[in-house]
Parts: sequence; structure tokens; C-alpha cells
Amino acid sequence: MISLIGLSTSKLASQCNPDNFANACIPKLATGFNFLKSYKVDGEGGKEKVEYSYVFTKGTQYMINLCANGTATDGIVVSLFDSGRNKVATSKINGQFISAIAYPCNATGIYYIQYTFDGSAGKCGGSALGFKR
Amino acid sequence: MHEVHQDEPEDEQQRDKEAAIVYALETTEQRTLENQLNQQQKMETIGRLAGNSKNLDSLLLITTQNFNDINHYLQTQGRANLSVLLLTGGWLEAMQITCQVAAKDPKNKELREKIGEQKIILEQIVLLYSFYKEDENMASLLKDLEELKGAFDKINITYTYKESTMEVVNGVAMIKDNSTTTIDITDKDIQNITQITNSVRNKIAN
Repeated sequence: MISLIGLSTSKLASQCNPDNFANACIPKLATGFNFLKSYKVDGEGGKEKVEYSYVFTKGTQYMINLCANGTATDGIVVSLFDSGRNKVATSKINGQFISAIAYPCNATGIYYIQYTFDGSAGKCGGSALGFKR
Repeated sequence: MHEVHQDEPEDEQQRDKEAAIVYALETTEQRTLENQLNQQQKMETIGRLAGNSKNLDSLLLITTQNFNDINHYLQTQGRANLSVLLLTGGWLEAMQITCQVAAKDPKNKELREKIGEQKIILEQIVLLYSFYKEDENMASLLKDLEELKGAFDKINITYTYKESTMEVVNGVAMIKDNSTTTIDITDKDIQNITQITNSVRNKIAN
């Protein structure tokens, strides 16, 4: 009975709740950036990446930030790819995990926002996208 | 002599069930009205904010969050088609306004390019409609949107990729995007797009 309870407790503890992290990221967008969308980052179940797409507009600056448990990004990396799948931005620079990317868009099109896990303990977080002109 | 009738257990159970159903219906109706009221309150707030250009940031935040909430609700209710219609209506309205402003300022390069860029957005909207071909109403609107897409197909958008550069400033990765796009759009293209947009929009509004 005790081992069953322990098993169910540990299962509960490992369940990711990315909603909270996504909501926490919204007020953390830098001043001047208007909130557009929040994203859940849930890598549980062995997922290597979580990806979303968005249309970015030329002449607009975008910010994508990251929120996770413990250390600022908990090994979660956000990368941006253009419609041709060229990587145009990433939040891991010279081995350093950065918690936000500011991307001034010069070319309107579909962009892919990809979250990957680089030594992440929880593989659970959230992100917010904002813009300013 | 006053007779006292003892209810049969089955009658009592039936009455309890009926009472539970009535309570659930009343509660649901009350919650629906409350949700509707919240929407009314939100629309009033949006209307007030829209009246003052200093409130643009707040207006953007509220309308964006509201749209996301509505979209999420419709998706969870299995009514994603309404979400697509909501999106289309908003886009068409914005297109009509942009075309009207561009008509008054035909040499405004930024406005012309903004109209031309909508080619990319319309392609995505039409793609969304492809999932609802069985829906008569959606199919009818799709036909109109495809006519509009035909006008946008004449526009050339050339994208040139160049590797971006980045540096970290105050804990934020600042990216310099070195890619470019050029949009070839003529006066005739804008006229066609304006005409079809107005036609589709008026068809929906009337």
C-alpha cells in the first residue's frame, strides 16, 4: 500500500504543468513589448523538441522569453527558424543559456519557434512572445 | 381522519434526480449568462480604450488575451470552425481598413507592402479552411477567399536569406536579422485586392 502511494506520488510530482510557467512569462516580457501569445513547453514522454509556428512581420521587433523551474531556463533552449528552416536565432550562445531573445524581423513570413532540452532536469517550462514596433 | 401517505422509495429517488437536473440546468444557465456578461464587460472596456490613442498598449493586450481565450474555449468545445470564422472576419475587416487608407495615400510604400504581405497570411487562412470543406457555410466563404487569393497570387515576394548575427545585451540575446524581402505589387494589384476584399466583406456583413 505504501509503495503504491509512493509510486502515485512520484508520478504526480513528475507531471509537468507548463501553464503556470507560460503565464509567469507574460509579465516578464521587457518594457515596451506587447504580449502576443504564450507557449507551453512540455518535454515529458521523451520529446526532443516542442515547436510552434507564427507569422512574423517585417519592421516589427519580437521578444521570446523562457520561464522554468529552478535555474532561469533549466536547460530549455528556444530557437527561431525561418520558413526555409534556416536557424535565425537561438537562446544558447557560446554555451550560455539566455532567458530571452529579441528579434527585429526584416522579412515577413512564417517562423518556427522551437524549444529543445539541453541537460534539462524538468523538461517543463513556458514562454511568452511579445512585439513592439 | 387525515391520511399520511408514505412515499415509495422509487418516487423519492426520481424526485431527487429531477431536482438535480433542474439545479444543474439553472447553474449552467447562470454560468452562461455570467460568461456572456464578462464578454459584455470586456467589449465595453475595449470600446472605452479604443477611444483614446494613448491606450493602445492596453487595448492590444486585452484584445489579444480575449481572442486567445475565445479561441481556446471554442477549440475545447469542438467548435474550432467558429474560431477560424472569427479570425477571418477580423482579418477581412483589417484588410478593408488598410485598403481604404492606402487608397487615400497611394504613394505610401509601407502600406503597399503591408497589403502585399497579406498574401502570406491569406495562404494560411485558406489552408485552415481546407479542413472544413464539408461545412457548407465555410465552403462558400472559402470560394470567396480563393478569389481573393487569385488576386494576391499576382504579387511576387522574394525572400533572401542571410545569416543573422547576435550579441547578448543585459541578459537578452539581441539578434540582427540580415535577411530581406522585396514585394512587387502594382497599383492594379491593389485595386483588384481592394475590390474583392470589399465585396467579400460586404457579403458577410450584409
